Amino acid sequence: MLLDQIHGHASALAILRKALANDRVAHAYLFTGPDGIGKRCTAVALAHALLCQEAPQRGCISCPACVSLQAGSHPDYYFNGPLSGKQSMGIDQIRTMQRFLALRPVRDGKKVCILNEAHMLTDQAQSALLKILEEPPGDAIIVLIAASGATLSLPLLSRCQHVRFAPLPVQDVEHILQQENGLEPDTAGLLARYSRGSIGRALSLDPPTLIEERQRVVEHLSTVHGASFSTLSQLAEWLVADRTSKTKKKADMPQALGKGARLELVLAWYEEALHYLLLGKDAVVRYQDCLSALGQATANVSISRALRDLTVVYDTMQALDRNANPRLAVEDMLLELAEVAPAR
Amino acid sequence: MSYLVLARKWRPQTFDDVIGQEHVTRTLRNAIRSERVAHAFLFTGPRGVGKTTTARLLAKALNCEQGPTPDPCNACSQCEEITNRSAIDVLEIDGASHTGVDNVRDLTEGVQYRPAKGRFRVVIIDEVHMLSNAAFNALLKTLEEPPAHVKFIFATTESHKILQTILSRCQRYDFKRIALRDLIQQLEHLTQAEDFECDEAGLALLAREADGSLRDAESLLDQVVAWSNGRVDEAAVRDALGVADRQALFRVVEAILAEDPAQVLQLTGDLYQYGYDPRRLCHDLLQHFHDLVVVKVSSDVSALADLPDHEVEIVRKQAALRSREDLQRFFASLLEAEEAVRKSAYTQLVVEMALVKLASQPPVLPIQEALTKLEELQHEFGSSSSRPASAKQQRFRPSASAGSIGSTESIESIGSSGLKDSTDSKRASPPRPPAVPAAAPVASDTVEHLEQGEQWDGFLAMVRSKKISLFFALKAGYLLDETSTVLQIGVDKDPYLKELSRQENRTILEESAEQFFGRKLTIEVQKGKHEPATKGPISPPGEGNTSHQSAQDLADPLVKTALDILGGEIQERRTPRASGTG
Repeated sequence: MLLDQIHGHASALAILRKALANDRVAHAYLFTGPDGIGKRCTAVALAHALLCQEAPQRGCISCPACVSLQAGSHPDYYFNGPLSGKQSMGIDQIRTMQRFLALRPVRDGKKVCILNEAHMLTDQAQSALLKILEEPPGDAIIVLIAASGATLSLPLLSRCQHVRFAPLPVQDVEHILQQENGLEPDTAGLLARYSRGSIGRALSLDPPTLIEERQRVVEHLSTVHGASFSTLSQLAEWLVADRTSKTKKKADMPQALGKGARLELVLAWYEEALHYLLLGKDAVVRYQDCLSALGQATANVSISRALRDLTVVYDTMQALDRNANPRLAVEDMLLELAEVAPAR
Repeated sequence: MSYLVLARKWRPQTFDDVIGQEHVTRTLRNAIRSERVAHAFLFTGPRGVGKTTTARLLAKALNCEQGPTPDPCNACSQCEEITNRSAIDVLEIDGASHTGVDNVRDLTEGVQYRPAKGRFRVVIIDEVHMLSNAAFNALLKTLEEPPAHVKFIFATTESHKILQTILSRCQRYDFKRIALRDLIQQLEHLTQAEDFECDEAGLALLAREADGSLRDAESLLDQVVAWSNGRVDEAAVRDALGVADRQALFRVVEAILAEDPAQVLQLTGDLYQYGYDPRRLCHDLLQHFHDLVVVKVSSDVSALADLPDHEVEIVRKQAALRSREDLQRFFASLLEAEEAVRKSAYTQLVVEMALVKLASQPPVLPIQEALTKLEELQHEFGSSSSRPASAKQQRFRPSASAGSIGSTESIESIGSSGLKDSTDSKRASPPRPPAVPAAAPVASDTVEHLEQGEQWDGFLAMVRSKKISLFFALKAGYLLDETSTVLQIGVDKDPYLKELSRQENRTILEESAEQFFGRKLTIEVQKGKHEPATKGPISPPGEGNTSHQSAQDLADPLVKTALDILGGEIQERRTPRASGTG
């Protein structure tokens, strides 16, 4: 993918384009932003622009350099990231990178080095990166890609030019899904609203499942106030069912939405409820087509109650991340949500 | 050669160019001048303040062909080689990727040889904190007494990770964060030399973002310049770095202070759409509330908060809207939120929740004010008794009396009306009427009892100072009667009775009583369950289960303790047996 083909990210792309045009490309960049919004694509596009022999500053797809780059075999291009299944990236991978950078460029130009998921670098690896990141030999350009700079050390951050990638606006995601992936407008719209600004996330969702599960969440949550324990218990069972993968009845468990997606739908519901209460119906994004249900559910709810409900759901999700018993935690959450608000 | 970032291009080449570290450069230059250069140095300090630079400068100063000089010439071959990092006598090692003991062994063997060209072999180990323990230990001997031609320079950001034995062999130099003023000055110098347009506000914003590090400042300047084609004004800095418009930030804070959650949500949503990192927003708000608190408590703002003059006015105006307690509470909540948002995957959600919560909290009453109000209420309700009765005093009061009913009642109603709003105080009065008729005839009694209670307290304190075990025994009892010659004390439990009846204890009690009451008194200890000598109009014992407190209820230690701890009044009393039959 080339720089011109990347959607959105106007400010990030402008920084890079201007740097290319003015020949002020720094030797170290840090790209940060949520997963699946195009950071890696941009980094590769930058590599194209730097290494291309035919159209410098823009890149092409036909010259030998760009072809070999696309194939991942360009001798002056290096891409690395955490090994599959690993939660961190160690010093060994940095040493490999240092060896690559120590050599002179094969083709008479620049060397580009991309380090994906840099937030997974261990402390040792980060320290080992410092010297080479400050003064890389020759014409090397290093791009670090990370979800956020929060886990990177200050000395490392201070050596890079920081380029931030914001989540894409819903309209952009919708547009891209229609144009690039040929989805129907309806489906594209639905997926875009649940994408949290990430194309990768939008494409990982399975539309029919999403529609079905969302319907169920809406049905239950709009009548959750004062619901009986048996109803809640059933709902809890359903909500946690997509968290465990080792169940016998696999047919009952669509995994298409990913682990814990149902609870995320619940979280989204309460988030939208708060938005609806405070800002009115225009602020609702994800449950735009269920406004009446949302309105009904929030009819007698105060802002503080809405905030409390949201906090309860969020805290539960946090607790689940820390390995709380899913069934108990979710039941407890539902009991709190079902509590009938005292009359105002 | 391709483009060199400003931080590398403008790396200082003389000691004079090093900004904000005079305490280091001056010491080093004087050492060189007086030929008292140590053989091992440790440079430590935050990132981007000049540690590696100074290390290279020192190498240059020592090896310059003009002799060891405080002002290296930068013209001779030695100086040039060091600048290009190609000098064979200056070994710059990346400590973080050469961490092992083998690397150190190679090093210590290598330094035995005389320098090839220069005067000294200078070993610079950067990021030295990453060396393994074994590597550090392998270095110790060489570091203590290296050959005369060897100088070691260590540079690190984390000196606490270095062994004490290494630290004690080095001259340590602590580099400081660079002051905002110096940063701005240096940036001005840079922009002039590079021929960039700039304005003061832009540079100030850049310098503030850099947070005391010159390299950060230079990286940021690079970024801004690449973005704006060489123009460095406030708008360009903001756009290039994704710093929120200060005005937008002020509007969010205003909405929070005005308790307008809808507006807060709207504004943060807009900021987020604009590509503003929620973590960043949280951090900036935290900084702003810090400024608000500072402005609130201090008259000399400029010394404490890094604020431009036109913002001081805005901050001062905002600070005037709320009390210091409120602002501090906001700050504390935001601090929590910042912690949470750092770890969370739902950054926007966490920040929104935190801000809406802040905006929907009404101002708190300062605790002093609340106490004053409580006291006022207490006076209002407690007007029947001359002074407020505390729960502690009640504990030592003779058991059942109308007085205790009255005062319990008053405390309870203060409690409820103090916490709820004024409409509730109307609601609090209905339970009172039953007590009022009773209280009227015994008003004098109440006063007397209160005094007696106080006397008993005093007496207890007196005993406590004499013999503590006796005090505890006495505490379990109560005053039954006090006449001019006799002090009657009732005890319910046998062990205490025994203790109090012992001759030596009785002597102590009598002594205390004489001291305290000022007259000689005989102490009589009785087994409890006696009716106290003075009693208020109590309902007959037969009606003990009704809504009024009876002497029996209060005499029961269990009930009494419950009453002491929980306060309130007895509505109904059920014993297991009673409930079985009834």
